[in-house]
Order: sequence, then C-alpha cells, then structure tokens
Amino acid sequence: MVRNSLLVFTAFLLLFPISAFAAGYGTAGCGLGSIVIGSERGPEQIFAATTNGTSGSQTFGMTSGTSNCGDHGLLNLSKEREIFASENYTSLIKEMAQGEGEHLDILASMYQCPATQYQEFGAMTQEKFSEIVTGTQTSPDALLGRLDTMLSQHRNLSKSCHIQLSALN
Amino acid sequence: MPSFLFVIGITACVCLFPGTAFSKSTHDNDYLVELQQQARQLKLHEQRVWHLLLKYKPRLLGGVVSEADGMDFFNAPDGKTNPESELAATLAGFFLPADKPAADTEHPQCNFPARFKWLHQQLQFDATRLEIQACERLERWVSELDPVGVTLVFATYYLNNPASMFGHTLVRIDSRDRQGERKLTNYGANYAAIPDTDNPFLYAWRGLTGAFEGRFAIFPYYTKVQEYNNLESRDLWEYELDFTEAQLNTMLLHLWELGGTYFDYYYFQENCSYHVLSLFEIARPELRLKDQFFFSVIPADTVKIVMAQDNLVKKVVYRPSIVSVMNQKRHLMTSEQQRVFQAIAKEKILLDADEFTRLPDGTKTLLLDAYMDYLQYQSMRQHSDHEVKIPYPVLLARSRLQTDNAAHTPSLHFSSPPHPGHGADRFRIATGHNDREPFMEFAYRPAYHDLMARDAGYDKDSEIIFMDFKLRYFLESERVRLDQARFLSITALNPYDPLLFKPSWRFNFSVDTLRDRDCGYCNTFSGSYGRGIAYRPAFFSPLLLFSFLDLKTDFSGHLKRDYRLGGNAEIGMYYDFNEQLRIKLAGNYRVFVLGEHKRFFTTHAVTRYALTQNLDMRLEFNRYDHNNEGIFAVNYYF
Repeated sequence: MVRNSLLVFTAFLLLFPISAFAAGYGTAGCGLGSIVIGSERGPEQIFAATTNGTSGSQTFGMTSGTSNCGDHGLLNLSKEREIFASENYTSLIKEMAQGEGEHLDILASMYQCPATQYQEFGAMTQEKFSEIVTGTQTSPDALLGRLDTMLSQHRNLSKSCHIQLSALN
Repeated sequence: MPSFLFVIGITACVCLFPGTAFSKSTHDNDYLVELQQQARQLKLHEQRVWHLLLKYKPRLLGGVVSEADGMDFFNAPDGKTNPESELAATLAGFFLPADKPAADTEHPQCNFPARFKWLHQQLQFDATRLEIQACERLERWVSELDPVGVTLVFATYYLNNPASMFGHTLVRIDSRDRQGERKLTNYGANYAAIPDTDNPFLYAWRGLTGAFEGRFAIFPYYTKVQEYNNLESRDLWEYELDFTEAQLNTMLLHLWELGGTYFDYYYFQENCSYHVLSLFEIARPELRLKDQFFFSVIPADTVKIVMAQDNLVKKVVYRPSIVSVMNQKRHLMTSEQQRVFQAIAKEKILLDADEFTRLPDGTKTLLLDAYMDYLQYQSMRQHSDHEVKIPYPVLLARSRLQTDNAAHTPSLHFSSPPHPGHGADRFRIATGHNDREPFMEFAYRPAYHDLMARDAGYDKDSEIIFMDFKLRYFLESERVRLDQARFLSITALNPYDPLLFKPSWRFNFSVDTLRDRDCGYCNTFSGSYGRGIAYRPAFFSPLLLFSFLDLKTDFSGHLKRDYRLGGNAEIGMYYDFNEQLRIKLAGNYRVFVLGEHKRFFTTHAVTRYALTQNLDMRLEFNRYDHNNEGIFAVNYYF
C-alpha cells in the first residue's frame, strides 16, 4: 500500500497535467448509447492506462436492467443486430469491403445463416457493397435495412437466413 | 444446461409440491430454528465457502470483515462482521413468504442464489417445510448466459504508455451458443470503479483511499474489444479456463449476488484483478489465488497465478489490436510496397496513381487492408460517433478486389503474454570495484521492469523503476553508503515509425551519488526530464538505437552554490544476441551551466544474461568523468 501510494502520488506531482482520466469513452451495451470518446491520449497520460473506468456496463442482480435491456440486464435479442452493428460499425463496413471477417461472420450468425454460408454472406456484402453502403454518412440502422433488402433478393441466402427478427424469438 | 442444477432444483420442488400454501408460520419457525441449529453444529459459518460467498477477510485485530460495502448484501444488521449471525439471518430470509418482498425487490432466495445453493447442499432443505421460490429473472439471466466456459482476458499496454504495463483484467463468460466464430458476442464481466471526478489529483487520492464505489458490470464482450483493441490499441490475451458447468453455475450465481452491491474501490488492493480472482475461487474453493497477494494486486501477477495452477488454463488466445493487425500486414510488405503504402497513408499519392494501379491485385489488397486498418485506428483516436472515417472511395476500391483468403493473416505477436514475465519485485546483490576500493551492493525495488531485464511479458521498449534502493558497502573504508534511491524513473522508447510517429521520453527522480566528483560518495537529489528518438531497423530487429536530450539538475551541499542545472546528451544502443543475452552501450555528455559549472563525459557498457524467468546476471562498466567502476550483479525477481 505504502509503496503504491507513493508511486502514484509522486508521479502525480511530477507528471501533471494529465487529463482525460476516466473519460467516459465507453459504450453502453444496451440502449444503443452513443460512443463518447475521451480526448486523444497524449504520450504522458500514463495514468489513464491503469484506471478501470466503467463503460458498457449494465446493472444486473438485484436491480433490474436499464432501458432497452431485458429486465435481467442482458440485451434484448430483438436488438442484438442493431446493437452489434452500431458498436462495431467501422469494423463491419471494413469487412464488408473485404468480403470476410469475424464481425461479418457474427452478423451472418445473427441472421441465423448456417455456418457453411458465412462465406457466401461475406462475398455477397462485398459484391453488393456499393448498394449496402451508399456513402460514409450512412447509419447502422440504414445499413441493416439495405442489408435486409440485399439478403431477401439473394438466391440462396434469402432461403437459408432469417431476415425477419420475429424468426428469432 | 448450465443452469441445470439450479433450475431443476427449483422446478422439481415447485412441481412436486404445488400446495406449499399450507405451511403455517409456526411450522416454518420450527424448521428455521432446526436449520439454524444444524448450521451451528456443522459450524457452517466457519467454512471457507461461506467466507468466500460473503467476501469475508481477516481483520488485523482478529475477527473478519466483509469487503462488500453495500448493506443490501447482508441479511443481518451486523452481517458485515459476523459470519454466524449473517448465516442465521440468511436462513431466516429464505423463509420469507413469497408475497412479502416489497415491490421491485426480489425474494432473498433469488437475491442470494449462490448462498441458497450452497446452504441447500449442506443442509438438504426439506421442500415440504421450506417454500422454494421461483426466481424468474434470475432463471432467464442464467439460461441466457448458459456458460460452458470462462476466459480471463488481459489487456496489454498502450503504445507509448509505460504505466499501462500494469495491465487490466476482465472476465468473459463463454456461452454455449456463442462459441467458435461467435466468441465476440459473449458477455464480459468487469469490476470497475465508478469515478465521480475528472480531476487527476482527486482521482488518484480517491482511488487510493477507497472513496470510489467499485461495481461489477456485464456487457457484450465486443464493446470491450472495440475499446481496448481499437480505441486504445491494446492487444488482448485471452486465457480460456477449465471449469465444470456446475462450477460455472456457482460462479454465475455468485456474480448475480455481487451485481447488486458495491465495494469501496482500492486502486491497488481491491481492484479489478483481485475481484476477478475471487470469482474463480468461488467456483473452485480449493483454489487459493488471492492468498498470495499482500500489498497490491498487479493484473499481470494474477495471470501468472492462474497460469501456475494445474490444469486451469486450457488455451491462450492472442487478439491483436488494430495497430498490431496493421503491422502484421506491414511486416509482409517488401520495402517497395512499404514505400507505396506510406505514400498512400500520408495521402501523398491517391489510389488512382500509377504507382498503385499497376500493382497486382494481391498486393493492392494487402496495401488497402493495411490502409483501412490505419484509417480505422486514426478515426478511433478522433471523436467519431458512428461515422466511418474510411473514405468511401477506399472502401469501394477494396470491395472490387476479390478476397484473397487468409493470405495476409499471419499470427505474428506484437506483444508478449504476461505470464512468462519476470516478477515485479527485484532483489539485487552485486560486487564491484572502483578506482579506490572494492564494494558490495545490495538493492531492492518493488516494481517494475527495467530495459536491461528480460522483456518477455513486458512492453519491450518501456521502463518503470519505482523505489529502487541501493546500498553499497565499501570494503576498505568500511563504510555503508546509500548509493542510489530511484523514487520513480520512467522511460518510453518509441522506435521511429514514419506512420505513427511519437517521440521517446524519460524522466527520473532520485537520490544519487555525485559520481563525477571525489567527495567520499556524497549524495545528491537528482532530477531529469528528457526527450529523444529511438530507431529499430525492423519490427523484430535485435538492434535498438536511441538518443536523448535531457534537462538535468542536482541539489547537494557538496556542490558550489548547492546545486547545478544543465543538459545531458546521450546516444546509445541495445542489442539482443538471443533471449538470454542483451548488451547496452551508451555515452553521455553533461554540461552544467547554472550553479556549479561542469562538463564531463560518462560511458556505460552493460551485459545481461538471463538464467531463468526470474534470475539474471549482469556485468557493468561505468565511467563518470575520470571515475571508473566495474560491477558484477545477480538480480532475482519475485
């Protein structure tokens, strides 16, 4: 304890200004909370590193869940795709352009596509990229909407995947 | 089903005895008293599991106190310090009629399912005499999570951020239907402080004194991966652990209990890693993971403890950060491709430039993929709210190139997992000779890593030395002197990268010896701060060159005007012959222009040979102005 207190304390005396501590850069899993990213981390913001600020957290246990979550604090399955697309937006779009990737496979699984068709799903997003992603200002919801359309027009995927959310629940 | 035991217990009882309404309060009371007596006879309140469940830990002056600070966590008013009355009150709580709990609160059987499960195992509740409650929310929670495994996740350091070497740990709950390629969709559980201030001083103070509330939270794992991998660009190491489904069920029920309470967050003791370990202990009480930590719990050390258990870790998985993913691709490029890639990234040429368009598709794919990683990294660092910062033309260009499966997905590791790292504490014993006499050296420091030590498990370009005290005993003059006390010394070497340029920097605050003078090993307060550059020819090159310019000052009664202030210029190199053998050569020129004026050279040559993970030998030659010394040292880490 003593050594640690001294470590931090001396360091703080020496190393301020250090900003952006537990900046709320996290995302809420439920509720589609917007991503709030703290200010850029400079080279000497060394203490932000070991702090464990909360983010993306949901209450569970004795208290009931927050909005958009189930009352058990987990995601509502009906929101699963939206939340996933929203939280992994850049990764997803990048992978769509590449035609493959971990996030894309997961999205396919959220459409209940069989694992054997993940590759076809990825290839479709690449082939129809300009129709699914129409510009950089597109939103996750709009992206999913256009993806639904493309899926329903696809010869194989329209049969094997479930585009309607009701099929999930 | 993971929730099998629990759910079956409840449903079986509820189904078999639907008419529990007949129970009368007097009968209830009889049975409660009976159970409480039985528990006392069995001394259940003294058992390890009960103490783990209630988070009791011994107090200095005898007795125990629970780490939990939310009073909802206890059933007895004195439950925080009295395991016996808490156990009796818990049993009494289980007898609460189903309609009794107020609105928005759950029945104690549902609030404390882990305690219920354990007490049920110990006392074999008679379901005809104790009404077993249906816990709808809990059941849905457990069946949704449906764990078949649990993973300890370690987040490594930031680029350019030595303190982050301490790392961070969280837990991933691996659900049955979220295996394989769906692993990212699992839930993670994290214990974190809820800070109520942005002021760094207050933040540090409150973190140390336990003034923040720490809470468990649960979230989709991919949000944490985005945060660590992409936003902060930290590699993740995932340690998949081996627990049975029954053990996982207990862990989950316990987590449910913890979710409703809070703890005073102590930055160094009751931190994220400490509470993560307690989850593993509740699942397998025979594991004794927390016992080894007295003063502080460093996340990397908790990984080592977990790794040291027999058959606990099944598999270690590397999840590279966005920068590491990009560097994996850069590593595959020829120097010509590197040049084109950098020109694109710096926007010196566009994608329709001849230099790019004439490349074969495979190369274009490689370059574009690396470029998109770079743009994603950049966009994450700026405030970017669901807006894709990868320019549309880049995305379109890439979407027109056929996927070259797995051609550029090498698994090069740009960080090393924490478990093979040396211990944070170091004891050093050495013998040496200066121009006048031989000496012995004894040193201890509690943390953390120096650049001459084996770098497995650490950021190989960073150094943090904290409270390093070194005594010398001079054999002929028979004197013991404080040779050096480094309170805090941090070095961040950032090898030059044309794409992500960051300067190197270092600072030091210590009591040192005025080694350039002959004043009988007199001491000085010494401080320095410097900036510099470092250069490594390639990602995995054994050679690292560096150069610094420092502002340096000494305060000592042995100096004219009691101080001197000046500059220091250093140039040096590190070279790794292999994992064991590393050398360092460095030369400094110091000019003090205020206070006592002086100009002199110092030179250093150090060789380190690592014998094991926690033992190394060093040979050092130092020259300060006209004074020389040679030292042979043995360092032991623990």
